[in-house]
Order: sequence, then structure tokens, then C-alpha cells
Amino acid sequence: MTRVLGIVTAALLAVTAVMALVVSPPDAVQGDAVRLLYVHVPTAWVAMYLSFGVTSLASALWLWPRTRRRSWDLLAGASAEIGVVFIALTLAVGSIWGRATWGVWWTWDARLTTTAVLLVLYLGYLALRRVPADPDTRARRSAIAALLAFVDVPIVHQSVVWWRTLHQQASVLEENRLLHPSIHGSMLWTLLVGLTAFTLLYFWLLVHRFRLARVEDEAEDRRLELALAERRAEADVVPA
Amino acid sequence: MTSASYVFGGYAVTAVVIAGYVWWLLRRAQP
Repeated sequence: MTRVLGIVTAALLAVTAVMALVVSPPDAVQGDAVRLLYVHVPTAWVAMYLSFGVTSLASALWLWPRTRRRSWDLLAGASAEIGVVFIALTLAVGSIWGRATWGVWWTWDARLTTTAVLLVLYLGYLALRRVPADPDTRARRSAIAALLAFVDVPIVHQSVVWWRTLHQQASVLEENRLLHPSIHGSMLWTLLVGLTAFTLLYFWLLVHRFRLARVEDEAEDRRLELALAERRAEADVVPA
Repeated sequence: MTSASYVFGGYAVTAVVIAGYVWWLLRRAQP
């Protein structure tokens, strides 16, 4: 099943590349630079809404006593790591696009700054997960940190509305124009195919990262049991 | 630089980062 998902994802990513680089037209104002949209928006979608959303949901499910399972903690960590990769990509591609259209690689604009803060918050979250502690303590503090970090996501989303910013407003998810987005038809289709391809890529990565997290978790348990057995053996041979 | 150079740079960065992450993930999953 995972292999089928991988093949479909790779095929759809190839279709996205062809549509983005060949089929869709250049923008009337930006020219070819607009083609960066088809990478920048999907990576932001995967990072902010999918990855960090799943991390928050899994963290909340761990914190809720009735649904508490170790798997939720592992899923939260796995999804956050993918989110960090994709939010870093969003910033990198956004920086290249900024240089092409604004003339600068970086500016302390509200959207850019709040997104950079998001990267730092989730890097902190991943660092927190590596601090040695028993699994329950680590899961509890990670879950709380994940929910606190997610507060920045709606701030990033609304930053182009709340503050004066260089970054453009939403092209598709506009409150008053959901059925009539201000984007050309072929551009919109390319963007939708790109969003679908990157969404599938996220789930494929999540399956693999979650499996790895389980293996690492079981290995940690085995190391702990081994260490305890060694301590007990030492205690047996030490004279009273 | 031309717009095409920036587009190439953006797509190249994306491809390298994702391929690198996939490679790291599959390598670590090896028994």
C-alpha cells in the first residue's frame, strides 16, 4: 500500500513539474518567477496546516486521558519533523522568490518573521523531544509545547491581513471569493495538482517516519531493559 | 539573474532537500 502511494506521489509530482514549468502561463507582472508559487504554496500548506495540525491533534489526543496512547506521541514527533523540513523549504523558496520579485533575499516583514518564528518554535519542539526523560514525562511536555507552538499558525495565516506587508494576500482561500478566486484557471489547476501531490508526499513521508519512530522507541525500551538487567546483575555480585 | 534562474534555483533546492530527507529516512529505516 505504501509502495502504491509512493508511486502515485512520484507520478503526481512529475505532472506538477510539467504543468508548473511548461503548461501554465507566465504571470503578466512577475513573468516566469510566478512558477515558484507551485512549490512555495504546497510546501507551506504541508508544513503549517497538515504537519503541525496533525502534531497538535496527536498531542491533544495524548493529553486527553481517555485517548492516551504512546502512538499519538510518536505520531506528533514524526509529523513535526516533516513540518520542520517543509517550513524550512517554504522559507528558502520564498527567499528566492523574494529576491526575484522584491529585490531582496530577506526582509523583516510580518509574514516572513512570523514564519521564521514558527520554524524556531518547532525546532525547539524537536530539541525538547531529545531531552532525556521517561517516556510519559517527555510525551507530556512535548504535547504541551506542540499546542503552544501551534498558536503561531493562525498568526502566520492572518499576518498579511493584520499588518501592512510586502507579502501578497491569499489567492485562493480568500474569505469573500472562495468560489471565484483571483487566479487564472490554468494557474489554479496547476496549484491544485501541486497541493494534491505534496499532500500525498506528506502522507508517504509520515508513514515512513512513524514506522522509524516505532522502531527507535522499541530499541530505546530494549536498551533500558538491558541496562536495568546489568544493574541488577551488578547488585547481585556486590558483597553485602 | 533572470527569472528563469530563480525558478531553477527554487525547484533545485526543493528537489535536493526532499530527496535528501527521503534518503536519510530510508537509510535510517534499514535494519
